[in-house]
Amino acid sequence: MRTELRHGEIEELLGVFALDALEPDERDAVDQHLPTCARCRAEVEEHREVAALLAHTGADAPEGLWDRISASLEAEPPELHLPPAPFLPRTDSPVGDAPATAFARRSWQTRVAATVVSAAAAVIVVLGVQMASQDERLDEMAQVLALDALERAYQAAEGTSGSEIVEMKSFDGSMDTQAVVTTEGRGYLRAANLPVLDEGRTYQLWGDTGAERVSLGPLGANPEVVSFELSEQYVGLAITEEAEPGVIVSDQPILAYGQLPE
Amino acid sequence: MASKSARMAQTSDLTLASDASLVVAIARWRQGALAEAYRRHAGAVYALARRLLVDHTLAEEVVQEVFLRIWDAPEKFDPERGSLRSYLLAQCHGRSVDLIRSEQSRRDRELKEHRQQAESGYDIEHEVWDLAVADHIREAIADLPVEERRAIELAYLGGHTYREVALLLDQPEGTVKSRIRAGLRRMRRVLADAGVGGVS
Repeated sequence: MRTELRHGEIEELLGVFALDALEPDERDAVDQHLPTCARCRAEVEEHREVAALLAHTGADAPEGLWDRISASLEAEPPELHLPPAPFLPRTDSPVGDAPATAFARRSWQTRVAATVVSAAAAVIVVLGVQMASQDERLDEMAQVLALDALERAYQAAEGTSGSEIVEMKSFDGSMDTQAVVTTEGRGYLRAANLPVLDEGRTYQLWGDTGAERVSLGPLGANPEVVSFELSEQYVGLAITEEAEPGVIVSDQPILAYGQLPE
Repeated sequence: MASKSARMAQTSDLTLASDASLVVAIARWRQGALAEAYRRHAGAVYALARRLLVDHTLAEEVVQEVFLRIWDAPEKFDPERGSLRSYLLAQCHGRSVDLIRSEQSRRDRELKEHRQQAESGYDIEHEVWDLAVADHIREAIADLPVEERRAIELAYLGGHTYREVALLLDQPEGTVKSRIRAGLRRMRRVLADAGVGGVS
């Protein structure tokens, strides 16, 4: 079955895709394409907004349905991303393959009945774990939204008339990454393929004037997509590795360099 | 666990919040935010599931699943990409269609029903009655050539694949694909001109 489709063919499928009316092989092809194409993602969302209006009836959901939903929320604790405490073993679970989260809470409740001391300890641990879990969940959400926004901004810049791609490579060719710069002086660097640095180290981006390097900002030890501002004085972009939190003047070797369009 | 009165107070604070703010509050495990999202959108989600699945028990299960999914994974909703309502309805539609397609005999039976419906000139106008936007939506639907209108109706509200739609309407598959896309775009233009919320 054919799954490799050209961009034009994918575009033709977007309306049908938004209505969940594609056959599985074509749906897979669109699913694979969307993360790489902001324009097609935007079109699918537009179609879904229109479809949502068609579905709009203004009627109420059946009575009692919310009670069932809220009851099932209360029956399950927040999803725990951290492992249970050692004295709350999952082996207490009566069903080996059941979801860990639900039974972690039941085993805690069992322990509450056992001793006051362990109950107090369990409360502290579970609350601690849930708070950490909430922070983690919010962090994850913020990271996903921020990263996704930058990736979309990168793709939007890439698709904007007049934008230029800057290929950044190491002198020995072992490392390469890509930036896109717009005619308005905004740049986006897609740096996910740079190796992760040790703790306390950071990549740093530089604008090269031909005479000196001017810092455009530290990138962190494991950068994904970052944005930066450019001015006309720069002829190239360079990346170095520095000690955190970055430096004003660098004597470190350039890890990757790309020439800016004139 | 919050008392009932505390939950109601939380809910009342959230009635003025935007949908995007509700999802942030959901990410903070605030059940009141989920209750408010449910109050705003569950009717439309249920109506779509019921329309697609016919069976009210199955439809209620899909609604439950959709709201539990936003509770479990609020980060999957991106307010920059679209409204919460369209996100929830897309989740509902996808899940309902999966259920329909997993029941081949039921599907065959409904194909027959929809074939009769298509032949009798069934109209999606009858599905829309929200007073605030109904006129604009009717206008947008009225702007559609009848072939585009029927193709969209059978695909979206009938839960059919475009190949099934092609069969039902006795049209080439490629034509159906193009008509669905063109129809959605045409409606969007009309709705955007009319300033209907969520379409810009």
